[in-house]
Amino acid sequence: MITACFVVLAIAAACFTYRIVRGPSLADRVSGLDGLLLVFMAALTILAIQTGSGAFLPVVVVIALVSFVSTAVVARFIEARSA
Amino acid sequence: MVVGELIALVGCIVVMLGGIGLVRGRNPLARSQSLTKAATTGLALVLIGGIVAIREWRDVSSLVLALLLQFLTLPVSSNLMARSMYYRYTREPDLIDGKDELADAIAAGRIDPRT
Repeated sequence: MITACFVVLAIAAACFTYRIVRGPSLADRVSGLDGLLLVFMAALTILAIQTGSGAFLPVVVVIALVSFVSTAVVARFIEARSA
Repeated sequence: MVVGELIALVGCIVVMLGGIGLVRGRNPLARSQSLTKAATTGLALVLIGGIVAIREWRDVSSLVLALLLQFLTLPVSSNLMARSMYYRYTREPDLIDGKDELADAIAAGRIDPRT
């Protein structure tokens, strides 16, 4: 079951990486980066389930904060550039 | 704890569906829409699976904090993202198909675009 989780997350990471590389616009690349951070958070949680030790769980909290701040800043940047 | 792993697997599948939607969407707004649904539902399922599976107070507190942060910040950031995409990309042709109701609202003065 844990292996299936990691395989599914790897497929998701491949999709997000494709969008980062191919994305025609900056907003698509930011969305892909957001998705990759999402995959990291899910993978850390599943690693904690597998090993039974939550040593890396605070990292999930930090990634959630950093992902919010970076997305908000880039959104303001895109909007200011278009004005 | 098989139940927690099962919930986490469902969450991973939702995240994968968001990735597929991000690849297959036709315009930036459609892509970010699928990603937003996947980020909220998928990560919430994964974290709840972790809470069910681990059941240790020190780790469950981190998971609950991450869940609360995600629920608080993700609608805000995705709303900002969609707003910037709207102002940046809708003037290019064939990006939003059908009727543009927000443009009508801005033209009628019901929404101030710079707030």
